[in-house]
Amino acid sequence: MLWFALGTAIMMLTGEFYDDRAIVKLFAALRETIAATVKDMPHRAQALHAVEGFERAFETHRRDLAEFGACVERADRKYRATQADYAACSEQARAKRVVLRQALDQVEREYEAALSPAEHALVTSSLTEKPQARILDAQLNLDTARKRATRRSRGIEGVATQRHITVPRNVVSIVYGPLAPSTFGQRFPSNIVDAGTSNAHHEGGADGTAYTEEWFTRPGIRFGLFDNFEAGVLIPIKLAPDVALAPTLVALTYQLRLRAVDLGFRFSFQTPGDVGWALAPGALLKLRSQRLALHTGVLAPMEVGTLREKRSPTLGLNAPVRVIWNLVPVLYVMGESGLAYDNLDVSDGLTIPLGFGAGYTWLLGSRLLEFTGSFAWDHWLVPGKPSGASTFQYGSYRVAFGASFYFQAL
Amino acid sequence: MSSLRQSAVALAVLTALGGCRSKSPPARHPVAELTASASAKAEVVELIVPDWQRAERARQLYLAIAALGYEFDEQRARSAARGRSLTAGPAAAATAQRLSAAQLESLLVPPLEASQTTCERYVQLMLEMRTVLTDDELKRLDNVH
Repeated sequence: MLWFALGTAIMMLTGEFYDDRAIVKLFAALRETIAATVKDMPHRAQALHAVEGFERAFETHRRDLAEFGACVERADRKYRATQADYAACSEQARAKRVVLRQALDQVEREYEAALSPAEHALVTSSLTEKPQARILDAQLNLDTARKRATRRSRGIEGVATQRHITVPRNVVSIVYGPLAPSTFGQRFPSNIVDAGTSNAHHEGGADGTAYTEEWFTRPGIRFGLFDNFEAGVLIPIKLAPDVALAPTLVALTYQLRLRAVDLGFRFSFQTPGDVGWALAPGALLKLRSQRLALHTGVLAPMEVGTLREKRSPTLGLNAPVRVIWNLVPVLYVMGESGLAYDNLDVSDGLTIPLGFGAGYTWLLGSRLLEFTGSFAWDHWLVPGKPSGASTFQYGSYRVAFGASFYFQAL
Repeated sequence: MSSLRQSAVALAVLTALGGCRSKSPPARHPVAELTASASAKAEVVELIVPDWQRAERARQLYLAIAALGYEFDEQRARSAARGRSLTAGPAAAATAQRLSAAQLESLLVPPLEASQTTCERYVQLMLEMRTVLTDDELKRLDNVH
């Protein structure tokens, strides 16, 4: 019977943002169906009147539920709340349920009286053919309810060592500090990208006196598009020695969530700069625990030129390793190293970087602000260079600092 | 690509991503709200409760509350499926079988006993929460949605 299908489907809905639209569309489809299939005018008017009554009962029910929710919230906020505070909410809800039963009984009688059995069947079959009636599928609703239980929480993740590789769905992170997962391992043949403001000191020459200083500032954003998929953009601006907009970094990351392990797949690219397009596909792995996390991966960065300015591709290989340790929940330290070939065509191109960092996490209501800083020797150890002897390069380093802000978009 | 074009692309992407923020989120069913809120609190409780052990216990309680919400959702879904089985088939549709108001109501919400059990369990968990958290911690967590 149509009436039951409507009632059960509608009340089943969780009230999440898309449900309300679905209900509005369903009622509109029902009215259209009645108007199109019931030819007898008095019958049609009475049936439409019954539908309005049902809509009102539904609205009242949702309002009552909201009041019940608000009552429980008030009790939740009261530290000295007792069983009696919660019982008062239940009593109200119980009384309103009696009223709901009466209202539904009345509108159902009205609807039944309005239509002949043939009209009734016609309305039901016409409506169930419409796409708006998909929410009437009880089995679908049951499956949805079961799936919901396994869905990733959409809350902001707190402790750094427990965070996943991607941000949850609808969570936005304004990235303006180093150590964000989206910039982990973003080491291209010609440049290394991390968010925030950074100073890169490059020392060269045999006596170590010739050097260059570069200042960058890199704001960006990460957004959880789905439960396990995020998109991110970083806009690097070179501040010194000259001011210029550097290639924009775009990163798309998908993750598989296991119990304490995340396996991620990332594709990132930089818009064309001096070396054309730069791409960096790769796989990431993060082991998470209460206080300690290990983040690693293998990435294949490459610079491939552009269609107009062709050049032979420069291919690198990068296997970063980062260990994060939360000293206390709000404060963590980080150590990073790994292996990096910036150019596989160069025979002695292996580099071992070494870096350190720290972050302080500050919860502001439902939002999170995190201050981060890092220090890295991007070419700390160059094995076998020059002429067979390994060299440590302490003279070239990079310092980065800044903050990232997390909040829920919806 | 020129710097101007690059910045235009970057700005467009940022605007598109940032534009997803809604000013007023639509009202949700209390159970959906409760589940989302408890899950959100579970994620950040350790940033508010400095003691790892107490924080872990509070996290477990919030996760139990979230699970309660999912169970309630499933109960509602089962209730709906039962209701549909009463009315399934062309014969039922054609004859416009009349059900009592009580039966109709049972399709709209889970049986009263199930609702009460869920409610009682929730109250029990929230009262236990007060033995784990301080007044200030509970207030701060109340701001997390």
